Amino acid sequence: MKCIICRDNIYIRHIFSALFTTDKQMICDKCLEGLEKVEGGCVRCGKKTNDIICNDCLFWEQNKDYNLLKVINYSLYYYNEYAKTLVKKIKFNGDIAILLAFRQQIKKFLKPFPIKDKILVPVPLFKTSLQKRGFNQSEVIARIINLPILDNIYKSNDVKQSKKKRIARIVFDDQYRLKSKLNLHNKDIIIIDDIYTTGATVHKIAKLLSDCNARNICSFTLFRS
Amino acid sequence: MVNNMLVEYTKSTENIVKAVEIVKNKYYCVRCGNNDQSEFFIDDFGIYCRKCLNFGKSSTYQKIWRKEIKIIFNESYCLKKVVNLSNIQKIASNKCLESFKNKRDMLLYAVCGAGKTEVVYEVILRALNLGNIVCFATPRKDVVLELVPRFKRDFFQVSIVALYGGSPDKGKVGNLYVTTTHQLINYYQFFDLVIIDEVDAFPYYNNKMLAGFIKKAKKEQAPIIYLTATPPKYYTNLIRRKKIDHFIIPNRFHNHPLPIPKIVLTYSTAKKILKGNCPKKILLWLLKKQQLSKRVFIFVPKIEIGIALEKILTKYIKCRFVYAEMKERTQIINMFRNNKIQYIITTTILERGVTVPNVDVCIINCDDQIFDERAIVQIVGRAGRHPKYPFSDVVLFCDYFTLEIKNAVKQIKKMNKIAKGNKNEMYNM
Repeated sequence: MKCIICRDNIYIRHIFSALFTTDKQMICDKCLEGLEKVEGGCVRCGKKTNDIICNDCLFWEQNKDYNLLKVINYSLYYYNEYAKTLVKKIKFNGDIAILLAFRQQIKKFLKPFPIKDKILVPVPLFKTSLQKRGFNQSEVIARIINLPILDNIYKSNDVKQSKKKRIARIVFDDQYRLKSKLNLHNKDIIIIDDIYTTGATVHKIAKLLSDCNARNICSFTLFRS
Repeated sequence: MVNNMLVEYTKSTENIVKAVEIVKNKYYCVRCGNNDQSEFFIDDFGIYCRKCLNFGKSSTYQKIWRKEIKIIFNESYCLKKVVNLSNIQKIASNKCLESFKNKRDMLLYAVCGAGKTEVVYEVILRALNLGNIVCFATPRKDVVLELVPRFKRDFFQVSIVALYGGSPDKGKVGNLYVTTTHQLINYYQFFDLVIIDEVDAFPYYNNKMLAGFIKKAKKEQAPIIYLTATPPKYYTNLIRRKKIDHFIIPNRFHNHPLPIPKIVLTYSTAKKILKGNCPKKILLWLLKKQQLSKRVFIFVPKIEIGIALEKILTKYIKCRFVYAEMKERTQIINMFRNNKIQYIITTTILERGVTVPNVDVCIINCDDQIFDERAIVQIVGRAGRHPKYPFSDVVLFCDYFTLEIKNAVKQIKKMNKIAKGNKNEMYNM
């Protein structure tokens, strides 16, 4: 078995419990060492702070559009230098294999959470960038988790969050829209994305869904910057 | 639609082909020639080759546009500067011409500092005047950057295109292409003559993908000329089976023998240096050079050792450490060339392609795996290249003898012997 990222041989531990697991380890321990797991930090989003709640989350609580949402974010790794190179490989070289290699880690991370009977909402891409890339990275992550996926949302313009400044991100606009009306009464929802920075994308979609009577909304992202 | 396609330049007929094909129930990447199934990513999202991903994704839903290029030749003859060749170089040059005429591959085995590039000038000129397109490929970017001004100086009325990662010449049209081997992925049946410098250098050696690039980029009948100072076994076997021609240049262009390395035993060198003290033998040798005011190359096997050694040596002498990921790499090398630093500590990145006159060389911790026979021969070849200073001091500091050191010294001695005129050994590779 070879590591997906560095293509070295993976040292497999011969444990008894390995007989009963189906997921193979795809990434070697050396590559995983470069990634830093999210622990502690902000209660709501996991940002590295000494306070209980970070400034961004305080803003979301005080803003009158969003204060009823209470979206809690779960992330797997911090977005450090090594993670940046990985994201570059995934998004711009189009190497989905790396993303799928995190299958075992994602499943292990989500095990303690009660995610049964929930619906996944991957963040959509704009039409042209989807054509260019050939795949939607959040949809790939959603497919790993293996729950029903809702794809009733589309992106209306090609303005990228990563190109905006901090204040411009937070202003609510109708960048994401519903394709058709739907009723999500008494349903729990997980929004899925690759990177969580200020939380603007997640909150915009959460607002949209809460208008459709969704009960509980949280989000899961692979990286937290 | 055309914008999304991968582009390959060709001189044969223009067409569009699939990037990944199925041959005998196996996936085959048309772009890089990969048919190792474990290197393909297979899922519902599409099948793509992971080996050549850095050059653009080649997947089942992607197509390659083989774009035809017409090259207009200027009527006037290509010219070159008159280069004075030694007798043996002239013989080698004629031999190259002969095998180009017969369309046979050829290996030119010449000692470090024999003037390999000058030998192939004649062939390049002949090919250019026949209206052919010539490719001079090397595995390293540094070598391309060094060669292009040299070619521009020596050839007249020839349009030269330099291709490397991030070069401004991308997509230009010319007669003589000086490229890194990686850039040849964008060409399909294009070149009439391919010359590969340093066949045994790092990315090209033992790399099937790059060999495939060259096979794809040249026309089917086009001959290849390999240049090397340390032929790998694959090529010596080909010579023994008479699949390719060969020629040996055993002496340097100034007819002085190669310096034979001295071997000095030191004890637990790597450990001591990492702890912060340098073995006495090494330090004394280095300080002696300071009095003679000779420049010194110090080769180390690992980056950690280099950093530790730089810390120790800065107390006594002025020295800098250079390694591949450094940003000021070229600046420091230029400072060393211009005699502003006396000592340079380096990993194997400077093992080839760097010419500095009047220099002494030493390898520290020479018993490391990284210094194999080819690397040692190349490093020894850095010394005494200038005709004014043909003699220099080469020392290998090691904890114990390895087979590689022995073989390297043997090879150097053998070449010196052949150069002296013992012709019986000439044909036993």
